[in-house]
Amino acid sequence: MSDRAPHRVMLVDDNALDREMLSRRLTRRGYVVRESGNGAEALDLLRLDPPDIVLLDTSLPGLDGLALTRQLKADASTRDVPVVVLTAHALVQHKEQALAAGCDAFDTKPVELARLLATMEALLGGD
Amino acid sequence: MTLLSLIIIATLGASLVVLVVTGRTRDAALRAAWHAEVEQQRVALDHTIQQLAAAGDAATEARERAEAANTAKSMFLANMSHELRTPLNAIIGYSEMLQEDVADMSTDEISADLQKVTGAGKHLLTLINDILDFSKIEAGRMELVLEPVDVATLMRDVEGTAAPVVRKQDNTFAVEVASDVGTFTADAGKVRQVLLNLLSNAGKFTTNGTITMSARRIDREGVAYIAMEVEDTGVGLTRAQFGRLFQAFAQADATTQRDHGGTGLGLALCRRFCLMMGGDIEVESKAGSGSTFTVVLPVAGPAPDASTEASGDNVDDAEPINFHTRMFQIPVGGTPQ
Repeated sequence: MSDRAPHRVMLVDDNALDREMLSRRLTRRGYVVRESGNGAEALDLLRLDPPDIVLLDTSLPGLDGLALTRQLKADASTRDVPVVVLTAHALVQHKEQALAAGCDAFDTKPVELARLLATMEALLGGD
Repeated sequence: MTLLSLIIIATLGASLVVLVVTGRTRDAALRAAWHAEVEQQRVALDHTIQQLAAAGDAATEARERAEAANTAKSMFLANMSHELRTPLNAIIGYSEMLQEDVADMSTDEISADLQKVTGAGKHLLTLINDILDFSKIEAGRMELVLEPVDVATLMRDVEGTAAPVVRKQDNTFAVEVASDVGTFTADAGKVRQVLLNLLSNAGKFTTNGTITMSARRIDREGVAYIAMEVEDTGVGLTRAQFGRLFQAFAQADATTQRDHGGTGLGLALCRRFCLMMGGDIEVESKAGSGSTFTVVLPVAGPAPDASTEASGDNVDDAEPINFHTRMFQIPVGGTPQ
């Protein structure tokens, strides 16, 4: 990942601890991370300046993660940005709901970093 | 016609009238009795119908109550899973990050302590996942994803994942896959989970020994099975431990948790998965000289009616199906602990 511009990640999570932890771990691995703790605010930021990938918690104030996913996927300017839903709601129905909302991948908390990074790189096209 | 014949006819006619009249009287009496009987039966039947209706209402009410309780239980489990995962995310994430930090500074002791925090967090996560799997099986909601599984590929994948855990206590890890083993129909994820669990146990209970994983095709009473074996040269099992082996939440003995960790759910869950896939797990062990766990699964997959859900039956008590269990070998002399 040294020969290209770093990937820009938008991390949306209302849990400040989770957000800070993942943000720092991704930054260490060369990603440029922007954060938001509110779904509605995140939607504005994402429309204004779409990142390369979105990591999204589901229970968010303002606009929940699944509604936010639907909005992103309905808008031509953000449709192609891959969305990874990352949540502590880890049952099969939660995954089905997330995929039905249009997310590109689903992963659970606690974050298994190697697995998450593999998912992100696969969506980012490994360039 | 003579007078005599007239008399005979008249007599016969009179007798007939008498007979008919007598018959009618008897008939009326019978009919009255019959009506009374019918009425009595009707009243009894009415009563029975009322009782049935009441029982039906009670059954409906009981079913509704049970369904509500089940929904509440599912919701509780889902919420509990979420509530536990949230702090675990911070515990595991920050301790892993701190391990990276101290690894750079080479402060070994802090790193080792942090590894314990991460380990405890991951252990708690395994427990949460096992409990959820368990509750799904009990509710008959555990579904199998059946597909053709290439045994050699599965073995390689499991070997790669399990190697660090198996080799941890100076153990040698050997993998032997028969060349003609081929493919079988199963839920690859669950078979993987079972083998990883058996290998992790083998690694925990063996020090400076050998753990061998092998796979071969076998035939039992004309049915083709895949036998996947995990053999160790570790502490083995006593007869008492053997009896509790597949019971949920039971571990070999009270010190097992302290010394070796584990949730006490792993093997019970493994066996349930195997039963769902139409097979079972066989165990051969001798205290002091190791254990062999063999996962035996039918090549053709589970019978269609058993494929999608496990019954709520307590499989702890279930006899292994389709084949005999190998006898537990009673250790000769003392039982080293």
